[in-house]
Amino acid sequence: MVSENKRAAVRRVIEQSGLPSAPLIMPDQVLVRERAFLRFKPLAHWLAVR
Amino acid sequence: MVQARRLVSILFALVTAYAASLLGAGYFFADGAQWLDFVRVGLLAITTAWLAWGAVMGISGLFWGRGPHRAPRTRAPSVRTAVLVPIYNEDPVKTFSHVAAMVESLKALGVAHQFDFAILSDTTNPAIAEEEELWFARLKLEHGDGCGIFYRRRAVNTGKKSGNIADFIKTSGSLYEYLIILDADSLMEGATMVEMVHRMEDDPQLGLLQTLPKVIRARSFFGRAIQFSASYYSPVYSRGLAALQGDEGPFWGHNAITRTRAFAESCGLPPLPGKPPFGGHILSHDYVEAALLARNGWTVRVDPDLEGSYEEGPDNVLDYAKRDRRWCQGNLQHGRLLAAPGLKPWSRFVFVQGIMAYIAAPLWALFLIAAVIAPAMKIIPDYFPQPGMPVFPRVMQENAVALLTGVLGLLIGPKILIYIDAVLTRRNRAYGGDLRALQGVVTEILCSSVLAPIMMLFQTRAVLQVLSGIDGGWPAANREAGRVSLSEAWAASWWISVIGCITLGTAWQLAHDYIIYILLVAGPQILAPFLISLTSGGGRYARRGLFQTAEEANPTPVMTAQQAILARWRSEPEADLGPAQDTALRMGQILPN
Repeated sequence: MVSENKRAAVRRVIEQSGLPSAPLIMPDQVLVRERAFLRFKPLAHWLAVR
Repeated sequence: MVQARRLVSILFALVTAYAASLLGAGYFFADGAQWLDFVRVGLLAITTAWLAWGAVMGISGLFWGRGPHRAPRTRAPSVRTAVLVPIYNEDPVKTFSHVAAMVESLKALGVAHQFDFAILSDTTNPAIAEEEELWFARLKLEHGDGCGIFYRRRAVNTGKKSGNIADFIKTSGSLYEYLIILDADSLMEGATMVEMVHRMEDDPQLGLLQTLPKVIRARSFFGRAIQFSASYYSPVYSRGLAALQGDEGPFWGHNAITRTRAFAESCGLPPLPGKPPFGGHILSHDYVEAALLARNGWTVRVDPDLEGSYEEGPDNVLDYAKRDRRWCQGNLQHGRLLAAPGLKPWSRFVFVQGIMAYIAAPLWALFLIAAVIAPAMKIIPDYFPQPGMPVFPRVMQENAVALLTGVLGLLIGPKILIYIDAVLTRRNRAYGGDLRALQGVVTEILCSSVLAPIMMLFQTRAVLQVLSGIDGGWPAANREAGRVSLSEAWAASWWISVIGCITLGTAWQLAHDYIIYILLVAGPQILAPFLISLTSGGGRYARRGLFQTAEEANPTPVMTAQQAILARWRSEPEADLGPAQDTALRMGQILPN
């Protein structure tokens, strides 16, 4: 059984131990090739409906 | 030089596959060629090429990549490094005892002020989360003086482990020059972590440096066989791997250091289009991150000479199969990335290797099926192709013997060569001497040979599940698994026994001549539940010195410290947090980070 004092102390420790704020940008990488013919929307539409 | 090694190694695999195909064709076609014989030759060629590729890695490591052992540099680095410990529903007492031991190891060198530890929790179980907070507080109050230790728990584990690390980078990454990425069961000597930082400083183009973690703390017969194998063979195989991979080396997801900015600019992983298992978040992110770093011109390197890097492994076949299921899905998912723009050719080849690591199992299974049913489809030979004396087909028995010998040579040959090398270099002293090491080598070969037909079916099932769209997800590792009872083993592997019985029965009916060979495969499959349960125990063989490793005989300081901290914490789980608890309550601030 955790005492109330201990619980309160744990709370304080957790509050004080969060990650420091120092952001760094991490952009998503391109992993999948864009299919070239889909750039041409009319063609894509034609392919989709035929 | 690396290109030349790659060429020689690939040629070796291709030539070996060609030789096996010729021998196989000579044997299969002796009584007339039919379509199933062509299938058998094709399967034989592919699987032999794969075996040969594995063998060349081991043989390469005996000749390439050796160098003098460099003592680690322990002067304080001039830059800050974050040590990341991603956790997911782990046992916090054990995990945090690892962190505590590593913190103390760094303090002993007087360098802890340049390292911060960040425990990144994705725990979803509320009871475990509460335990994490309790034990983190204890860790922080007992060991946080002089070394920053942070804790963050995400409400939603977007992107799983890779997302967890990305979240840290996006929150705090610009504070740190380097990141050491660990797993919950990782353990590293402080001196090793410092040396890793210095090696990164030595080469400004180095984006990621991977160590070769040794498996420790295995208890069961199965676990200790893996531990012995990792300790005895892996350094040689890794030297061979390093010699072939050059600057486009591997990342195994943990026990590695990366340059923060390189990783941040190169390794943001979006979810793949579509649904799991081939779409969604990338499961085996480490291989992809290595490929992306190489794509952006960073060097990725494995340094097998770096000691003091440890991890824990699965202690039974079922946990091994569970981990394998996750890796199988992750590796097959890489098929979506083979055409990713800008990747180096070797990176694409590494993806193919990873896929082949799991595709090989169903290919072997298909080969065995073909071998069993082929005799039933035999064409009755034409004994009188021309008038006159009969012509009997010549059974090319010598081809079959040569083929079998060759396959066994590829499987066992590198291990025997590694043993001989260990005798000549006196490396066996760390393993209890030449005789004890030989005992370990022979027992490991027998153990892996007996379990291989069982693993083949687990992996085949994993591949079929992934290909039919079943998402296995990311089950939490069971790092404290004990003995597997016979009933548990039966529940998990009864289907393997059934397949073994069917295979044996079919072979008895259709391929009586090959029954002895089929028994070598079907026998262990029929006995699967018994073997799984049996090998999950057997810890008593440790006391007799079987599978002894250097780390077992002489635990390193960080290993000893971790065990001591864990034993103390487990003996007093309900203890208050000590005098600092009152300080925490009064002042509202514990220790500055």
